Amino acid sequence: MWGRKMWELLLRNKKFKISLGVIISIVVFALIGPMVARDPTRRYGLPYQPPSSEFILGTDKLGEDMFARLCVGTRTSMMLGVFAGTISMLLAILFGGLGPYRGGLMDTCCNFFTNIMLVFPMIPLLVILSAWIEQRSLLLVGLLISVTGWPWAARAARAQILSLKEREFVNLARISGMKARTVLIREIFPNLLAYIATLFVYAVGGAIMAEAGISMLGLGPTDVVSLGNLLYWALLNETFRLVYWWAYLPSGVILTALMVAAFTMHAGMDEVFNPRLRRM
Amino acid sequence: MEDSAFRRITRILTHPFTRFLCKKLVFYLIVAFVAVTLVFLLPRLMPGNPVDLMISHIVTSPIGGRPSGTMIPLEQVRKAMMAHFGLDKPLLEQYIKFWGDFLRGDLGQSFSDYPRSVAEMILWRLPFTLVLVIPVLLITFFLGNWIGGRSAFLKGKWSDLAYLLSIIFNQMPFFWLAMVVISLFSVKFNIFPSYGWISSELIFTFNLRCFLDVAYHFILPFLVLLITSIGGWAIGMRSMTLYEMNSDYIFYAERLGFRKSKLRSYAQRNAILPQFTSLNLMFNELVGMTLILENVFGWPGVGLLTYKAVFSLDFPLVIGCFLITMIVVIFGNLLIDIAYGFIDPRIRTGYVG
Repeated sequence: MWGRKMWELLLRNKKFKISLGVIISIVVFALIGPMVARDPTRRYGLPYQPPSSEFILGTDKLGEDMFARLCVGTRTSMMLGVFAGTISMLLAILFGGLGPYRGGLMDTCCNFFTNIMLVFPMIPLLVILSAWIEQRSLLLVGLLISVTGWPWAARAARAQILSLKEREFVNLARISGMKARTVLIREIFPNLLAYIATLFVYAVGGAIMAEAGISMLGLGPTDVVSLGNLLYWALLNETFRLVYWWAYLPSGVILTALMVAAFTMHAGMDEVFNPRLRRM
Repeated sequence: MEDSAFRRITRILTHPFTRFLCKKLVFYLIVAFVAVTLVFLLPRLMPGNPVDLMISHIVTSPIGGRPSGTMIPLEQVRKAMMAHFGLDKPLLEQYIKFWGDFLRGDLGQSFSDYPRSVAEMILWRLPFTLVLVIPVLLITFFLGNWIGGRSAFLKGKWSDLAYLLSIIFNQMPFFWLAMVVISLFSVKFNIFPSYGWISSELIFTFNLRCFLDVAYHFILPFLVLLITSIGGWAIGMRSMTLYEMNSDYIFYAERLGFRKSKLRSYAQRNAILPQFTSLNLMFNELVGMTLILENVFGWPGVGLLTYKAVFSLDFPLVIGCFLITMIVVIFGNLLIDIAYGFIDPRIRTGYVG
């Protein structure tokens, strides 16, 4: 009941609707593409063939099919984004929620830890973590990204929980004699869930971007084709100095579309769920 | 006389601003402590210590192999290297020595450029990174907030367009934009140099010609960083201004018959305060961004040095780069916090909330 109503509200939001459309089409591309495309790691033809009817997006330096690589790369990046986004949201709920729930010293410690982690710049931290590990699986990189990517979400979640605790309806529930746990489950949690979903969308976008960023330095997952990996090879082979536009433009366009859609979806959800921003 | 001096000192010491400052100082000292400890522990906790990794690279690399005449047993090499880096001593002793070296400014010697001191190598590169980060932070703060504050009052199509453009430029991967910009302005139109910091025929000396040449190389990386970070401020300022324009005090002032421009200036003045707290995060983000951007443009800052250190397995240099980056970040954050203390009337006048 509650879920359906929220969904209807969300679909009425223009930002949410458009970005959902963009994300769904990219997901479909990433899921169906690898089934119909060729093997992304096999050499098919001459290096740097321009797009033609045979190779829709041309070939790269090794003669691999760029379209196939783009499909698989998009799938890899999105999988990693969802995985790392989920883990970092769990960490954020743990460190941002435990404090206000237990209060006192626990709150001070969690908040302090979050604030310390916020000062660490993410990319140098990721670089120094990745530098010590020679073979990096997709799973490991996902974990590293989530370990460095949770603090901002923890701070946002904590602020939201603290403000929810003081809202009228929670006070009303408390005054009417509801048990503390019931208040938590029936009043606070549903409201928090929407907020966490909003943060999650943003975290997925951030994780995809972080993967692309460290892949650009050659420190991403090894032996995997991802969007960042495609850009890394485009950089290393200097394709952008050689006007081989098909080697670096498509992956960047998809990455930009994904990031813009994730941000707009986040903003749209925020407008619907956050009563202060809800349009009157 | 003495009494009044004493009273003045106590007044300074008990002023809320001093307390605010002390709190921040203690916080950043703890951050520094965590950073140093992390950098100390990481290589020692990883499976396989760095010496083994280095030996395996020396043995397997095609150019660096052992000279055939002098066959030293690998175990002996390993022992000598462990002793050289002090890795054979107890962990606590290593840790104390690590701190001692760090506080004396001794970050060890580089492997790849032996025996140059790591600290010297990095300090020479630091201005290149700072000259990117600091102007970009300041310019985007003013320009982005100005654009955001203006775009909050746009109507209909223009408002949507301004919002969409801010998001696209903010969310676009900056390293990809760098590639696009190079292919356009360096390759296609051949206006700007695409790589490095100085033309190959020049040797750097402090004269105007060299300075202009470096500035010429500086333009592209600077613009890419500027364009991709301006939108974040604009989006934040736009939504904060809209939020303030919806608040009761604005409605009240409107009923009282204030002019529209007056209302806007009140709303914007209140909207800008939260933006100052974003300066810290943006500064940290920019420092991280330069690490990748310098690599694309060959701009010789700390980021490019870090990249080269990682791939030449120059571990002292990797650690040194991270430590210096953290010092820059901590100092920057402290300065921003102090500035915020002056700006926020609640802290300046000692309101305790």
